[in-house]
Order: sequence, then C-alpha cells, then structure tokens
Amino acid sequence: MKKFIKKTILFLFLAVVFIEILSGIIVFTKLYLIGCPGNEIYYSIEKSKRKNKSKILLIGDSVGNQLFSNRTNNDGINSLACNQAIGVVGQYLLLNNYLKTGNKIEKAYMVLTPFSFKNNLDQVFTYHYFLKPFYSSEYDSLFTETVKQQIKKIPYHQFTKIPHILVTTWAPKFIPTKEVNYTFLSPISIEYLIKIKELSTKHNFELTILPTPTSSQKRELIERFDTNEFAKADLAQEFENYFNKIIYLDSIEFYDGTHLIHPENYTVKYKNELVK
Amino acid sequence: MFFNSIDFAIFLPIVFILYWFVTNSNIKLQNFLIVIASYVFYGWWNWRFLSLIFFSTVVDYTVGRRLRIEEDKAKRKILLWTSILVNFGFLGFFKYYNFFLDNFITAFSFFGFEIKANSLNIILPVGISFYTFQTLSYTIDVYKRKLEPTKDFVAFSAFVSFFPQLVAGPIERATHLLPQFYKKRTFEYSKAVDGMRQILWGLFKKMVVADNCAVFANQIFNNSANLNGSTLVLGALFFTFQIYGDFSGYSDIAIGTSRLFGFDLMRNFNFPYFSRDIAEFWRRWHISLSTWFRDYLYIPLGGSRGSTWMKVRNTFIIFIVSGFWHGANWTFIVWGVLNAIYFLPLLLTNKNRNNIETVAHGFFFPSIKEFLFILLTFGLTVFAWIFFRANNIGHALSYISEIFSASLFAIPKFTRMKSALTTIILVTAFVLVEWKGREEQYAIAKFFLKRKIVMRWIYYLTIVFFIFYFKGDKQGFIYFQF
Repeated sequence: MKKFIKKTILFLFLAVVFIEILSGIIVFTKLYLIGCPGNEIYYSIEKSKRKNKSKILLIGDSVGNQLFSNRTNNDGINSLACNQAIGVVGQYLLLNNYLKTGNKIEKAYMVLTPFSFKNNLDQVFTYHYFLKPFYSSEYDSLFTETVKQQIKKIPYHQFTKIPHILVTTWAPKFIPTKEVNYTFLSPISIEYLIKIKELSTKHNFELTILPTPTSSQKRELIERFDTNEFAKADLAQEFENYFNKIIYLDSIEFYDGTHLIHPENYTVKYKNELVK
Repeated sequence: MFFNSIDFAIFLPIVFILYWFVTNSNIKLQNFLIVIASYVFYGWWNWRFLSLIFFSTVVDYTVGRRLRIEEDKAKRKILLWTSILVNFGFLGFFKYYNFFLDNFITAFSFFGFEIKANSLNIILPVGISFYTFQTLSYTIDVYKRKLEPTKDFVAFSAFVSFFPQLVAGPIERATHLLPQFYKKRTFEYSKAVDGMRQILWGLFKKMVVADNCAVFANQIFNNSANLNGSTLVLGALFFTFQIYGDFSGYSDIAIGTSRLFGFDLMRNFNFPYFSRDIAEFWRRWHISLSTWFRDYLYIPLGGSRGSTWMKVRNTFIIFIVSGFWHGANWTFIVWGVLNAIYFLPLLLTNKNRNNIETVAHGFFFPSIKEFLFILLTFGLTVFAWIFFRANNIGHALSYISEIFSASLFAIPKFTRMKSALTTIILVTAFVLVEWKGREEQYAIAKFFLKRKIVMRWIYYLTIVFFIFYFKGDKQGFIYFQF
C-alpha cells in the first residue's frame, strides 16, 4: 500500500514537472499558437504590431474574421478581425497597437454582430480569449477602472500567464452575471467605443461600425434593443445606420446560429461597401 | 460527478484513503463507506433522485428476502413481478412516458380521433437504465434460485449503488459482483497499478478521442442539411469514434477505479471495431448489456433454438429492445432493427459464431480477407450509427440520402476543417495502439511492462501529455443519458 501511494505521488509530481517544463518550452517557442482555440487572437495581436501600408483597417469578431480573414490579403483591406470574446476593449487594444506601430489609415471598419457589443468581459470565454492574450503589464495602463474591476471578479485571473494554463484551453468555471441593465451596449463597450472614437479623431481616420449578416431568427431580439443606449453614450452617430444595414438571412445559412456556412458569398458585397 | 472532473480527482483519493486506512479492512465498514461514497457521487448530480435508488434497493432487498422463504410458485411469481413492475415502472415513467404519450396521440389522430394530453417536463435520472437492470438481475437470479438472497442490506445497497459503475455500467450481474461485497478485500499492489493504468487509458479515450471527435460530429450532424456527402461520411466516422471513446473510456475508468478498491468488474468492450462480422461485433460491444439481454430475454424466449421463424422473431425482439433501452426515440429502434437485419443472415446460416478468437491472433497484420471483413463490418456499424446519432428518422434519412448522392465524391468541407486534421491524426494513432493491444483486457495493459520502470513511466507521461495538450472541449458522457 505504502509503495503504491509513494509511487502514485511520485508519478503525479513528475507529471506536473513534465507538463510545466513542456509548457514552458511551448510558450517559449510559441508552439501553442498552432491550432489552439483562439489562436486567431494571438495572430491579430502580432499582426497589429507589424508595419502595413494598407489604408483600410478592419477589426471585428469571428464573423468579421469569416468575411475578412486576418490571415489573408483582402485586396488592400488589412483585417485584424478575430473574436467577439475579446470585447470592444480588445478591439481597441488591437487598433491602438496598430496605430502605435506607426501605421497610417484613412478608414477603419469595425465589423461586429449586434450581440458582440453586449460583452462586458463577463463571459465564460473571457478567461481564455481575453485574459490570456491581453491581461499583462503591456496593456495594463490602457485598462479603465471598470475593466480592472471586472477582471478581478474572474477567478484565478492572476494565473493566466502560468505556462500550463496559457497553453491549454483551461478556464475556471465562471458564471456570467445574468441580470444586466442594458440590452445592447455594455458599460465596457461604451467606454472603449468612446476611446476608439478618440483615436479616430486623433489619427484622423474615418470610423464605421458595420453589422455582420445575422440570422432572421434573431431579428425580433435585435428589434427589442434599446436604441437609447447609444444615444445616451453619445454614440448615436456611429450607430446611425448600423441596424438598417443588417442583412437578415435564413437560419440555414448559419452552422451555429451565428457563423456563416458560406461566408464567401457575402465577402464581395462587404468589400464593395468598404472600398466605395 | 464526472470521472473527468476535478471533483472526482479530489473525491477518489479521499474515498481511497478512508477505505483502506480508516475502515481498517473491516468489510462492513468498507461496504458502508462505499454506500455513502456512492450516494455522494450520485447526489453530486441531483440528490433528489437518490430516493429512487434507495427505493429500488429496498424493494429488491425485501423481495429477495421474501423469495428466500416463499415456496409457493404463484406467490414467488407475484414477488418477481412486483420487483419488475416497480423497477420498470420508474424506468418507464422517467424515460418512456412522453414517448408513448406522443406516439399514442399521433396514432389516434391518424384514425381521426383527437386526444388532448400534455407531455410532462420530466428529468431523466442519470444512469436509471443501468442500475435498474443491475438490481433486476439480482431479483431474477434469486427467483431462479441461481443466487442465495443476501441478508446484508448494506452489502446489497453497495452492490446497487457501487459508484464506479452506477451511472453507466458495466451492468453487473448479482452473481458476479454481490459475492465480492461479502469477501475480505486486501490491497493488491499489482491490481491497483493495473487499475491506475486502465484509468489513464480510459481518460485518454474520453478526453482525447471522444471529446475531440464530438466537436466535429456535433457540428456536422447539426448542420447536415448544408453539407456534402463526403463531409457527412466524415461526420458519421467522427461519431463512430466519439461513441466508442466515450463509452469504452468510461468503462475503463469504472473498471480501473473498482480495482483500486479490490473489485473486479466484468469487461464491457473488447475492441469491437476490429470485428469481422456483426455477431462478433455484438460479442465485443457493450458486453454487459448484450449478455444481460441474452441471459434474461433471448434465452427465456427460446434463443436460437426452435423454428426459423422463432429465431427471426427472437433476434428482432432482442435487438429492438436493446435499441429501445438506449432511449425513447424511433431512431434507436431503427438502429436496433438494422443490427437485427445485419445479424440474421449469420444466424440463419449458422455462421454467427465463426469469429470467436481475436482477429489475426499471434500476428501483427490481418490477412486480406480478414481486413476486408473488418472494413465491411465497420462500414455497416458506421451506417447504423447514423440512426443512433440523428435527431429523428427524417434527419437520418436525409443524412443518408445526401451521402448516397454525387456529392459523396466532392472534397469534404466544413468549418474548422484544419483542426479536424489533428483529430484525424490522433484517432489514427489511437486505432494503431488499440490494434497492437487487441489481445489484452485494454490496449495498453501490457505495453512496456517488460521494460524498465523509467521507460514505462516515460510512456505513461506521454499519455498524460496527450491528455493535457490534446483534450477536446469537455463533453458529458453520452451513455449518462441512457
């Protein structure tokens, strides 16, 4: 019995050491970026720090990424679109990186589903998709008090950079707040939309927020959004045409209710919108 | 409580230490601890349904005690039917009530009668089909005087609720498991190590094979209307490996865990996808259920004796009941019928026991003939799984009709295809390991056993590495819903 317990403990200890060393190697060589869920975010971060001559920049969520992949050349449209889970704050950080690198743009498009603005960093995905890539000293000064408070609510937020946590999809069980007093725009989204607006004024580029094609099943839900929310936040101008431009499609066009089965069918239409 | 959860990782060592150290090898105390641990294990999911297990336990224990003293045949029969009705009553209500009600209404509306009745919002108690069958095996065996009824209520409770196999089997026979609760258990190092090894392999099957395949199987089955034939074939293949990894992985963890406590559970899977015909497949897939139906249904019905008509009738009954056991949906019944159709030609030509030995016994490669028969059997199985996985018969038929269209020859196309490649590579490696270890109790039972401990541990750490880095999105165990 003692032999069994001793050996089991030793094996578990070795397994932990083995995993931690391997994880360290994987972090160092950035191997974890291959195929890990959310790798598109890391790719966008890296891309946002690269020099680029394109005058049109696109940021957005995963549907935006379907329409304009961040890994391909989109006829002069530089896409950093990746995932809704990074919230509008993540979109801001990518845009800020891009401008800080010295890139000049004339137009910036933010392509997000109507539901992406509700993200207040309180989702089950926040840990893996936002905290792991962005919660570091590099971005600390860019976080508002609201963001910092929200991060503190997520268990184990301080451990995101531990190698074996960083390289796997592990995330703590986190139950998002069910009762919120907004229908469309979360407090964090408001704060960072304003910051994005400020960047557009400072760097002199035109900012347009565009919706992604959306399932007609969600139409009723979207029509119930309180439009006063963006008026109150002084964002009425930015959202002036957003809802009118939503292309409602039959639900069979989506494989999970949100993501398009054939995004290529809509890319050209969007390109025309972007380059006109 | 899931086997692949942190909760279980904490629960298991606590129970293990209490079991071997605190109870001081006192059987009664150990059995009592098993009952408490099992109720905690089950109650972790929903404590309210513990009352069902307890009630079944009390009924079958009491019926068993009465059967011991009752000599009158008619009264013995009444006692047996009391147990059957109580157990199947619970099962029928929780699992089949809405199914029968809906079909009853549909059938009557077909003849122009309109019946108004509301379906109930019933939660299916996890594992109800498993423990119901297990406890029934006790009453039937006592009734048939194959087993002496127990006087020990705690031992019987432990037998009914034994946590490693409570929610998804193997469905143990009272004749095999119950006597183990009477015997003094002593800790055996080799048995415990073997148990740990089997747990490790079970976790790999579940977390790496099944959970990764599940992502793509779900994606393809849920969007089958928009996908081409070759993609749908891929979806069916993903599900084929998902269900095997999921269920046989669970069984491995259950058997391994039991061994840590000094118990031997029956084998539930014996490399079924390497079968050369459907009869062999059914001797190797969910063995505890197949043999349960064989012993308590097929043989009492006459089995394969009697006229051809009797053989056909009995085969269909056992496969349909087996399908229906899985769930209240016509898809499971069609799945059962399909398997009966596959099985019948073998039975009628007396070829159903042609392939008893492990394929390519003593060799690494199978013969071409064996290989082709394995492929054929595998293909038939994959085809039948489509019905098992589909949401309804219409879904299954449209899925199959798209497979048998020109799009079968198109290149598979679905979202996250690149990630699917990793899963395909992992599944291929898994199949090779299973093939190599197909003559053992589980694939890695004897791997590296003759090598030095360092080599063995490197090998086990590699499996840990795969579980850690390649685990899929956490999914529930499929068979919990049955």
